[in-house]
Amino acid sequence: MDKQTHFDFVTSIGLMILSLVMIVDSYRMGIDVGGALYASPGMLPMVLALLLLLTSAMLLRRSIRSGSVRQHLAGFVSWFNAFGKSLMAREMMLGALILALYTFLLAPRLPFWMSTSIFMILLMAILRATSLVKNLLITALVVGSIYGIFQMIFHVPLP
Amino acid sequence: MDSQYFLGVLHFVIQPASLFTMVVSVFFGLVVGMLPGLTATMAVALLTGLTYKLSNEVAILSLIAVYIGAISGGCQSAILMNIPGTPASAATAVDGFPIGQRGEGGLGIFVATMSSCVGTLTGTLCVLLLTPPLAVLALKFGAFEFFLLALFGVMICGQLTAGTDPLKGWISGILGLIVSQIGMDGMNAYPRFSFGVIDLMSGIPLIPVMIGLFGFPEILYGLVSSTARAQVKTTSLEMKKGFAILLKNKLNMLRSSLIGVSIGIIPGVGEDVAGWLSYWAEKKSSKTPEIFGKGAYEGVVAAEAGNNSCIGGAIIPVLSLAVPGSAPAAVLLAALWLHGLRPGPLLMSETPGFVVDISVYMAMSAITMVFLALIVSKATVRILSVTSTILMPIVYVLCTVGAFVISNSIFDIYLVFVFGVIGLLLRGMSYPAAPFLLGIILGPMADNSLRRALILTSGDPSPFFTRPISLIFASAIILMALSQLNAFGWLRKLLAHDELKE
Repeated sequence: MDKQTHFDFVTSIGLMILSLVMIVDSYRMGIDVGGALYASPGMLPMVLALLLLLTSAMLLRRSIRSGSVRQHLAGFVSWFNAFGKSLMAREMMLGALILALYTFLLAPRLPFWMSTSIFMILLMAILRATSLVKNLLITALVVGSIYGIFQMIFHVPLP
Repeated sequence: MDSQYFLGVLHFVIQPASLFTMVVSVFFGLVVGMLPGLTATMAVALLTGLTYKLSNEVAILSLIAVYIGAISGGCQSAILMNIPGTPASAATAVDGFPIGQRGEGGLGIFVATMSSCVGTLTGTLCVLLLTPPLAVLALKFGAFEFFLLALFGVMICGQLTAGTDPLKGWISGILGLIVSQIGMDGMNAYPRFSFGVIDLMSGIPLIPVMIGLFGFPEILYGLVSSTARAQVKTTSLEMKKGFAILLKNKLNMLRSSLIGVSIGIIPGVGEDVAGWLSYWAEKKSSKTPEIFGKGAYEGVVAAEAGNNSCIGGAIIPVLSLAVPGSAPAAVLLAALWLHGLRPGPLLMSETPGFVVDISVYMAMSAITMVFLALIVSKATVRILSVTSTILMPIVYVLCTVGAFVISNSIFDIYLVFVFGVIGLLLRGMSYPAAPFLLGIILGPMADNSLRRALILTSGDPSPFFTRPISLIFASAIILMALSQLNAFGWLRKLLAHDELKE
């Protein structure tokens, strides 16, 4: 069975739960604001939640037709295990982790030149993109160019 | 009156500062378009942030120029490396790469670039001719029509971009519409789905979402796949031979350009579909379809004229209805809003010269693109030899800077990452990202229009099905939904059953 069918099964259940939560929340918005439901801030979210419920139910029906619930769950778990062991997945996770490190830790706390230099040197070194000297040169060139163009010429604040 | 606008904008464009901006932007677009993994949407989104502090005219000229450069630049890597620089050039690679392998890379690039220019100019002409009447028609739109237009846009975009699975396209569009509901609503200032987070109360800004959705997955895939790229050499341009090929393909160019414009007008569909459809139409009408895929110049001409004319097509609904015709046009729409412009039905009365401005920007950028692409093609293709493990960290830094500078908010950088992960999941599970983006763009319009319409009728939904324009949209939406439910298959079976009984 195609792995996409397993994904469809799992995501359709997730989307149905999301739509049910949204229906309740949209209804609550109507009560909070008062007045007719059609004029409340929850009107379109309610319509969208119903549409999401309908479309995800169609997706669930389609995936169930191609295999039993147990088959889908087992298929998804085995795909997940294989994914965790694959080299590409691990490299992607590592890449995402470094991007997250830059986004959530370095950029908000350090000056732009420092956070970006650490990020670029670290990422290119881990990926073995080039030699250390070239790595340092590229980083200096990129950080210097961005800093010079935005901060000094256009007076645009940098993160 | 139009000639006055025309002369005014021409005077602005030929100023040294404007020319410099245009040349730099087209060059940036060509480079981005050439690099596999970096799309036109990402280029326009990135530049929206970076040009935020510039004057309206310069910023918009720059965005138009980068859009045209990026869509055109994709053909070079398609011909020389069999890797379309942008999805828009995928159809070009089918015949372009065999041309390159045959040792005619230079001629192939010349034909493709000239076809791109003709396509863009045809699109420009259509912007001038079609935007005013469409804007007049849009004045007849009320709240009912605008709500159904938003719904229709998301549905048709989902239908056409999801390949064989429109259901996933629709789900993606609905999710985009849901994301657009985050933040204070326009009528009661009620904080929807904000969970007490102040940054969420002001809503989800478009540019960080676009950068994340389209850029982040490419960056991450680029980081883990730094394989060496096989590349054929750029040979001489052979312009005389090239012009003969173009002359032979004049009807092909015209048909492909018109297909491109038509596809562009459909909300959210975009240049890749236009390229493929134009290619397919040319192959179908050819007396020698067997040569396609083996290095036929007809295929390259059709694909490039089609995808570039789509730019003009996609800009027409942006200007007349404030509905984007493609993903890069969606970013352009967001950029126009950022610069205080109000595209839509009132554009022609509020800023009557704006359509002429955009048309001149497009035409000048297309001409600049031809010269730049041909002059620097040998140098620019060298950029392709830079490995993605070096390029992608730089691109991510530019993405964060582009997202940050619009409102100087660190929260926008977080959004790039969060929506990047969402984009990655969408791609992994075969959900198209374009309807998601269109949903975010059209969500506020859908919300305000639906509630305004229902307040006007005290909750009576019947005008959605009785007003003429609404009825057209409602019928189209219902037909699309029924086709997905296989209602026509059941009907056919039922009719066949009845015939057998008789």
